[in-house]
Amino acid sequence: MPVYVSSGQVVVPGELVAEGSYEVHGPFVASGKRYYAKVLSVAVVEKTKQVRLIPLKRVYIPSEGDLVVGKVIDVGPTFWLVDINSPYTALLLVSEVFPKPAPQQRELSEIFRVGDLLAAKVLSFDFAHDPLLTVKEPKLGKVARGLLVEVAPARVSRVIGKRGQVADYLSETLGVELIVGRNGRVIVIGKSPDNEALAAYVVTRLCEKPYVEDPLEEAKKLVEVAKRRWSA
Amino acid sequence: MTAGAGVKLLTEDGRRLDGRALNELRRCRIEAGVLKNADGSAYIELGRNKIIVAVYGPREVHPRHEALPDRMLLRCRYSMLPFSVAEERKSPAPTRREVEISKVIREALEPAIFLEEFPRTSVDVYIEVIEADGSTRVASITAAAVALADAGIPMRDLVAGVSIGKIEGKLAVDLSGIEDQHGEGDMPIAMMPRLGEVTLMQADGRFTREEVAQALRMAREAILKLYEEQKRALKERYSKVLAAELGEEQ
Repeated sequence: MPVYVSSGQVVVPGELVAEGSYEVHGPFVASGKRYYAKVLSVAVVEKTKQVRLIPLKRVYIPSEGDLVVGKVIDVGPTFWLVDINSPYTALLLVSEVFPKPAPQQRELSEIFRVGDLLAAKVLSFDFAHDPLLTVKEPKLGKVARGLLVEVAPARVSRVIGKRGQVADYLSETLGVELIVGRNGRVIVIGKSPDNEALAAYVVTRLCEKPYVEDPLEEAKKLVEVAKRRWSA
Repeated sequence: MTAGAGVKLLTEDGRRLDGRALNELRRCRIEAGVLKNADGSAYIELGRNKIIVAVYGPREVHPRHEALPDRMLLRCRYSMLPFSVAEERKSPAPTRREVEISKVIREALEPAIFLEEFPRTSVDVYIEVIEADGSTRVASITAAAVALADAGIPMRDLVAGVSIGKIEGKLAVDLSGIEDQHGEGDMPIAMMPRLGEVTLMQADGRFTREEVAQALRMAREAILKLYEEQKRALKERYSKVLAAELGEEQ
């Protein structure tokens, strides 16, 4: 019952990863007790008969409850069309913004206009219907200021970290507020443009590498580097 | 294609015009991720062939009515650049041949992709032949599979292809342009290398049953070599970045 990969190794689709009583996480195909990679990934072998496959590239697929940063691309009679950096365009229904009675269409564009950025939550999504968004929660809605940073959706989770550790660390040390959209869009809101630029730099650099083992350590290092460079 | 009378494709000692043995591939080099603006890309050099492939997707389908409710739409466009051929400049308009090749390439790639994973989306594969010297359709398939994997498309296996031809009555692997023109037959074959399943098989010329069986054996052997090069290209592209990261830790 061998494992055919070592940690940090790149595996291609169809490559045999492990055989036997292994627990494989991430995108794989099984044929009996043989596990094959499904997408181009990095393998991480964990001590107790576990192999984790981390995809190197991924488009954003909406999932219920995800916080996303969307851009309004059209105003409809009872909804807004929102681009969420995904193959699936999202809908934000009036009822998810206002209680009834709903305002008239011409008033909708007075609320959110084409080009506005929104922090929203995915209310529901299955592949047969477009994803629905909601802004009916505190801190959601139009984002009026800040800096938008676009990163690869496959790597955005490291900006959040385990239990939000990385995001908390960044906002604390850099004095900014972070809105981390699962769809690869991050908004940094700081007290000054300098703060924002610094945080944007760290977020961008954090998502440059295809794989980092410890995002929190990586973030700490980057903050140090960035601060040194900024003060010089 | 009928035998070109008088054109000698084999030397006295049984070698081909470029010095290859009958079962020898031309030099093959693949590079993955050569384009920044595409979701996935690959470049292949097979002998004098130079082909670049760009993959976009999964993305929203345009025009929207072409979207499929239960699976991803795979679209391929094989196109030869005007200066890609040795003869007179090729017109940039798609020819019958290019339209057909686009179709067979799509059908050769389709079985390897988990199309049902992203319903109502499309994956677009653009193949540009920069320089052509025989067997471009199979070289395109080999490169397209690498580009698809590079784009992060879920796949059962890669796909690689090779052409088997008949020159002076003997079967030969990986026909060059001149062998294709003056040989007695050409049989492009593509397979999923690990699964050993054939996804493309065409032929012109006459082949006996035994020859077809032998051609498939020869193709499989060559395809496994191409598969190694495909894997190397994909791994190298990302391993470099990963190795750079480890070095930095010190």
